[in-house]
Amino acid sequence: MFVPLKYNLRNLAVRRTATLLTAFGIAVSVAVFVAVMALVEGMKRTFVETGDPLNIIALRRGAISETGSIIDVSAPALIRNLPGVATMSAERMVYVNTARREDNSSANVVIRGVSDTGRTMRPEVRLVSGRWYQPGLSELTVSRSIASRFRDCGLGEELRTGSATWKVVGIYDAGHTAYSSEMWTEPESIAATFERRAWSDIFIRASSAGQVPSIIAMIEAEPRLDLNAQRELAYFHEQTKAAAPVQILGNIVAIIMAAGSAFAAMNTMYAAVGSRTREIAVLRALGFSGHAVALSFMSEAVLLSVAGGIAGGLCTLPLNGLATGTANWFTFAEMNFEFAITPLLLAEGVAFAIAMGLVGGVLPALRASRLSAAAAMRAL
Amino acid sequence: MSNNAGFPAYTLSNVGFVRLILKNALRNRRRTALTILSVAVSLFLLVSLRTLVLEMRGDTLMTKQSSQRLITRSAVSLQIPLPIAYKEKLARIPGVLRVSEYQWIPSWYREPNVPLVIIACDPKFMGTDPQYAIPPAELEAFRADRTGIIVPEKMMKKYDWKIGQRITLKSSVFPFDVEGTIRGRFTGPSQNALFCWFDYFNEMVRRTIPDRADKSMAFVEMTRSADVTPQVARAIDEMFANSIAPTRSESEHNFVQGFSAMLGNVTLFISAIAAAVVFAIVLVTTNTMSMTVRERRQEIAVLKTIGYRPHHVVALIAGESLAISIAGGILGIGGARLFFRVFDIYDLTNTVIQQFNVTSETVSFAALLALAMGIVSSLIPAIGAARSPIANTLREI
Repeated sequence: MFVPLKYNLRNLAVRRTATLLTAFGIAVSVAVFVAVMALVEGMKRTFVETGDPLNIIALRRGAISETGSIIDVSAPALIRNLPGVATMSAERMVYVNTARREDNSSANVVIRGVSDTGRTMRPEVRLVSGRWYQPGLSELTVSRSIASRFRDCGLGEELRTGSATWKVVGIYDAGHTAYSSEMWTEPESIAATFERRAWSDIFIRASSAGQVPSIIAMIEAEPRLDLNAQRELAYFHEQTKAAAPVQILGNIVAIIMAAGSAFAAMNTMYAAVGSRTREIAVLRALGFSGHAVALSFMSEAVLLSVAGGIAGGLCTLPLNGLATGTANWFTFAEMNFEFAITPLLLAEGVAFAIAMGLVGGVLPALRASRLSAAAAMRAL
Repeated sequence: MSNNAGFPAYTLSNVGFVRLILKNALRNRRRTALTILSVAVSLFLLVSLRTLVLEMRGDTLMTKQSSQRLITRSAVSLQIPLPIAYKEKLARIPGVLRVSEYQWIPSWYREPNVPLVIIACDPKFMGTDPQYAIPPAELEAFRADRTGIIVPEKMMKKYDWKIGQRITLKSSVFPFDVEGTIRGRFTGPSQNALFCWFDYFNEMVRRTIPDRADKSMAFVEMTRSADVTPQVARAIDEMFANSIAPTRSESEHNFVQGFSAMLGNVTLFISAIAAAVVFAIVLVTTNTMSMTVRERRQEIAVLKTIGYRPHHVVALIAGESLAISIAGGILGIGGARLFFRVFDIYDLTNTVIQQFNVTSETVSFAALLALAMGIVSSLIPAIGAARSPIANTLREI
């Protein structure tokens, strides 16, 4: 026979102050946990959603990112004729020191020099206003988030990099992909402005999925190239590791905060047991077993923490979709992303709260179950 | 025994009052212990987060001479190198004592996922900052060997290197590996970069990517005194304003801070977490104190009957809350300081975070915060207790 749950609900309502304070404490811990993980989720999503299974990226051997790769000008000719290569785009990337609109702090924003072919190889990148850059004119077409977050990068504005001036002639949208943190122009404009003739990466599309491994093998085996090739998906997947430091920090913070909240929940539950000695005695006298009493107190602790967990999760909802940016661990360049609060993350938050409730509730519940009815009655 | 107000004087003497507070705190030992633990872990977290923010700003990496050092790089980005012809021009600017090339060579040793950086510089520039001490014989050996490398002491220990050992560092950007002989080691705040000769680097570049030869990512200038540093920076940037490669010169401190600025709102985000932690501590302690007050309603009524004034009641409860905060503070703040002394963050994070100094300033900041939170948490329960009418409470008995 179980003690009805209504008994616990009413008790929580009667001890409003303690219930609210404890639930709030749990809510704060859950909110911090969900917020940090939403940031991690947003960063990861950017990379996971970038790439096509037919695409291959070739970088200089040992380079971990496109911006840190220097490829000889002779390389594209060697790759174009490999069997199985459908189209190919050699690209130049530089990053330029650009000021954020919000606080004037600066970040490295990537300018990718990409030909028309390279653009058609990435259908996820769509023009939303203005037009695409023209060759030879120092024009930029800028991603939506860079345009809104960086100074002089909006449509019609002019961005100065050293002695060169770029005109922003269009805005593109690249969804949640890595390209949404870039500005695009013609490869020759980069060569002319930055005196950089070397390529940064060679972007290849295989004619069929079956050709992908053989193209990769041929590129790596070619001694004149000294390149590393990998699938575009794998390249960006590797960069999800950029979120690792935040994830580790988030986990440490969450665990420590949870320990604090669990102690608080334990306090509240001990007080609940202490002030209800008589009620427990009555319950036992009515025939409820020690187990039933323990279970009842455990459910009370869990109810309390679930309330806190839900409240904490709800508090973080306004963060969802909030655009922000940080430096990518791999490229040193600005990486834009949005906080992503998923249903799974909210569920994890509530599960996390339940864990706090269980840890906080178990000792007090055991204590309640061990009170002997006779002694408890005598305590009156 | 009693004064003329019929009040037991000894309970109001300061010593007696403090003893009463402590006795009260120890009545429900388990609750007090749990609250102290909760406050302690939260303060541990708070101290760690604040230290993290300070370390990210790079303040602790600065030496006395940092205010005399300028870094000049391309105004466009670090990716655009400057011609080495600039070195001569920089050396002639009034106020500049010496100039060195400053070129990063991102690399790794044995573990591809643990990035290291080699800084190619003018060997004559090495060993000029007393806070980066290099044994004189080792410095001389480095200056005499074109392929010599100077390594941080901590890194030397980590990879178990010896002086005179020949090592190959794999390059992750340039198309060559850096092979050299370890000639010396240095101690000092920054322990994440190795140093080699710029001339040696330039030779390798000339061989592999001739386009890129005779260029340096940046230059470091040492100025005559900290006072002239800002005007020297302006003079440099004006000099190159209309050249093919306009420059941006800034103090070493600003240069380092620029990197944490690139992280964007991360510091703001961490501060928000810290604020949430503080709020959580207040909730926990408030909860404890209000439970305590509720259980002691009757005895508080009795205290009032024997002559305690409302402010005595407030002081009694605030004092207990304060005692809990102080104990939690000693445990949490002291614990954090001890923890990061004993465990080297350099090893724990695989050189990502170089050091984690819990500064005295952070300790006093957290301690003040703990005291403030102790008082704030007791206010609502204490005022409630002070106001509750005696007659009603006593009737409940």
